[in-house]
Amino acid sequence: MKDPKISNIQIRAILVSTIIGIGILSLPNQLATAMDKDGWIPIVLSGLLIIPMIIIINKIFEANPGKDFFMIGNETLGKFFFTIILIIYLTYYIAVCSYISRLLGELIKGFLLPETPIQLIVFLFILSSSYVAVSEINIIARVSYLIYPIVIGFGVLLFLVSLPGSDFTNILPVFQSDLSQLPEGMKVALFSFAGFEVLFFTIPFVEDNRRMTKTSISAIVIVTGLYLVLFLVTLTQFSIQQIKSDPFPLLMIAKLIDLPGFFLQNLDGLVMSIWVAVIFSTFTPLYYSSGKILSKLFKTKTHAIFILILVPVIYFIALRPKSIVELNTLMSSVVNYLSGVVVLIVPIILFVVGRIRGRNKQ
Amino acid sequence: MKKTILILLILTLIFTTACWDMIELEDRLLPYTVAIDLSREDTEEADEKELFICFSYPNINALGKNPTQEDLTYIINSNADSIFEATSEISSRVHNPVFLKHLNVVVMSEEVFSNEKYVRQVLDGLKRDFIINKMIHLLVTKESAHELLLKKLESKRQETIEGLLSTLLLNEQKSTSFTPIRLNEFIQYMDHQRVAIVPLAIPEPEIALEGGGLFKDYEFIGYIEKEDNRNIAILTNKSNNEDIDIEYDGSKISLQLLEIKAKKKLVKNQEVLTIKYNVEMDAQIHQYIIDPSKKIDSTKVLDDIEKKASEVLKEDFATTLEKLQGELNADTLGILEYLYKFHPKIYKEVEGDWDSIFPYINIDLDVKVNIRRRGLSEY
Repeated sequence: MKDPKISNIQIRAILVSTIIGIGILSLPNQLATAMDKDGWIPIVLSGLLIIPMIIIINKIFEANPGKDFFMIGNETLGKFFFTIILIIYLTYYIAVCSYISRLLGELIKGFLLPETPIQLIVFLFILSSSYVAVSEINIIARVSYLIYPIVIGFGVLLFLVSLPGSDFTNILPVFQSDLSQLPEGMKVALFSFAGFEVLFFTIPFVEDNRRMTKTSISAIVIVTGLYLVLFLVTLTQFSIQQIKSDPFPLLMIAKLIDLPGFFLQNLDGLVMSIWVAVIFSTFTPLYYSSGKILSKLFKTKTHAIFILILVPVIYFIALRPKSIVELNTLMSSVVNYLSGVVVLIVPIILFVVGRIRGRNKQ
Repeated sequence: MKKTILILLILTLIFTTACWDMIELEDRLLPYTVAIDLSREDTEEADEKELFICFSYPNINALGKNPTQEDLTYIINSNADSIFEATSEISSRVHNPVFLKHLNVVVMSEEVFSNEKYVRQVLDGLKRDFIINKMIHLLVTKESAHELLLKKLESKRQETIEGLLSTLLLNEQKSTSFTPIRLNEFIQYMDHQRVAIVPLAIPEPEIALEGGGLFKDYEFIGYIEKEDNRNIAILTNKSNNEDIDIEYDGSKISLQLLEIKAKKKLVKNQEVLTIKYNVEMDAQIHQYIIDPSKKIDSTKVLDDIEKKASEVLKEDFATTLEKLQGELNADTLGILEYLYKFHPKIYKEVEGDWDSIFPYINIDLDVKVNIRRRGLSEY
């Protein structure tokens, strides 16, 4: 089989559309709860913090040209430790996938299809994603590239339609919050950037390695910008107490749209359906990665079979939580902690250990 | 591999061709007004339920080219504890499912809205529901809300298809006697300035919206007149077009006020918290008198009229302010919100006991009317 290749633009698309996903709807709510109106500070800081991580990941691959994530891991950490890390990754991916599909099911049931059983919505979503996830990374990159404009358009659309009703003085006052809350805000904001570790699975297939760092940093800048704009848009629409009490402020903005004379109202249906595409593009790379990890663990040639095996696994885990409250407390805290390991700790370990080993060899 | 995908596709088809949620538009009841009263005693199960809820919905059979029925709207009601219980309660009497997405107006009677608990409950229901429109208009009425809807049916002149109350509340007529308020705005006001005015519907002699009910922390505290509502609307930049008549030189001058802009500013280094209001507006003369001795041809005359108009308006505003600071003690002007946004340090000092501070703050008014046009006649 010919080696699949991905272009740099596709890398940017895959990064942006993987990072922007489930978190975006509730991000303003969580940031406001932590930091009040200064929730934009954690967004900017996290963006700045993620950039060195991206550079680190790129450096890891630069130091080991022509090798993929699994080879590098095996070589630097040894088989045993790396297998443990892979299992952590796998747990994380399965947990995130289940979380995403359940939340998607809950929201679609609430807003669009009140009579349809949630089991069916979740199952169909996983099934249709598996259709893409069985393919190789270049196909997934192409799908992401296709959905990329929708992701950006989602933000722009929300911004534009909410303009007539915005009160920009609502952004004031700034710098009034308690800075001791910053760690809490950073936790939330950092988690909203989770998903960039998909670079581990994509960088080895990039056509032009030299521009890779620049491309991935530009993706992070785009995401930071979009998060920032959407947070400020939310502020212009609601009082801070409202944002704190509303679990999905961005969907509420869609409900508030009222262009003159009954022309446009209740855009939540439209926004929801766009959002499904956004979620789809988050879901498939993660799903693909978990299939890839399983295929490495069991040393099979293709990962497709594991994607199909994972359908029922994700489905049952997704339907485990009793209520949306349990989903948001229990499951999201599991996902949060694992993401800390996956997103921050593993790349740093790989980088540092790789460096030390490299020096010893010399 | 191909086979697996094929099987997947076929399976998908089987699952997606059935539709749980398909309901044709004409198979739905789409209420646009809901009236909420206390439960009626003359009906059964009244003592168990707290509220009497009444929906009005358009009758689709009366619309279109060949209507089979005459009444444009129907009203259906039920005793229930919430709007949602009411929809299931009436489902035994209607032939179509009730769909609340296009609910546009909620009217509460005095008995209901003067009870803080009911207000909080009803608004929470509207806010929490996935389906209900969050831009729903709020309305209060002194008498029974149910009778307001009945009255609406009688009035032929005011009949509109999408509902009289919702069309009035769209306020395309730019009335300043009332200021429409939506659910989202109401909640935002409660958070920002703690006070909100909900327009008041008057059923006699025909349905009118005049003045409003004043709510403070979801608690009803009193009514305001339509004149006060106008002044508040001007001072909070909600009105852009207003007509006034003033007495000048022995006859009436009719002025149309345009481009009304009110700005508030904190005056620093004062003993008492002082807010300065700058209200500036353009004006156009509508009517004066045919009398060669009363020409409007010099800037001096215009200045004079401007001064007179400013005085009249200033006096009007002052009376309203007196009421707000006095008996009502309600900061509808959003001074607290202004301090919160622009002077956070002062806000932190006064926020705790704003109720005891607001009646004693100084509000300086500065009204300026600029007459730009005099119409097509010199005298």
